[in-house]
Amino acid sequence: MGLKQREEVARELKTHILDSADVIAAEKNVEVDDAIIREVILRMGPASEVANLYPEEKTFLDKTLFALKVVGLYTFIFAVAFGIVWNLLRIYFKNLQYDSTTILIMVIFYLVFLAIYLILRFKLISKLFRRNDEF
Amino acid sequence: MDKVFEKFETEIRRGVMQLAIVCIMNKEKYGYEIIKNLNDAGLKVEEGTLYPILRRLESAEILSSQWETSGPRPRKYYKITESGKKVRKKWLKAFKETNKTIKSLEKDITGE
Repeated sequence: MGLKQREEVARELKTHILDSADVIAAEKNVEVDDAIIREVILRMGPASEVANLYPEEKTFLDKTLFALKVVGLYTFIFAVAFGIVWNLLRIYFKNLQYDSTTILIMVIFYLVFLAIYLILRFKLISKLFRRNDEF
Repeated sequence: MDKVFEKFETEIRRGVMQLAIVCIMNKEKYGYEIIKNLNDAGLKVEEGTLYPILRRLESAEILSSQWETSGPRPRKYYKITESGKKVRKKWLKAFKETNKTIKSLEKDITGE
């Protein structure tokens, strides 16, 4: 669990514990005290068990590393494919030079295919236009 | 035998919990309120299990949430999303079909 998620979970559970404690105290016609708080916490079960029930959420670092892996793998595949295509073209076009125009074409192809790959891989278009409900 | 029954009951309750939660989420509610509503409806909720379920439903975009800090203490309110309503409809249909199947199987046992 990342830090942000932990803080949010802790905040939410704290509110729940205090709300529950208020109800128990009202039933007993007493003020909220440590014993009531302990009773509520016990009712929730062991903290480790509750924590294990939470879904795993990727932290910003996890997402960044994952994105770098994806882009790295794509770059490697692109470099291999481009190398093969380039050498095949050089067999047929003996005058083919590796100059700034070639590099520019290579970069453009790289960026276009990367964009297409990322859009398809992460369904970016549907996420971009998905409506989010707000209160 | 009691342990076997308890485990089965826990599994059934956990499976039904998600459906029960989305059924009561037509208006925004916070965690304690959800537990109270479910308990009042006869579905006993283990308090520690509700919030992870809410988190899962939120991750799946079935529920959305917003913190409300204007009250005596900060509360996270949940509400069902439009896609959540579609999912709820499908879950209810699947649940009713399963229920119907179990009832017809039960008739075979009782010989009715």
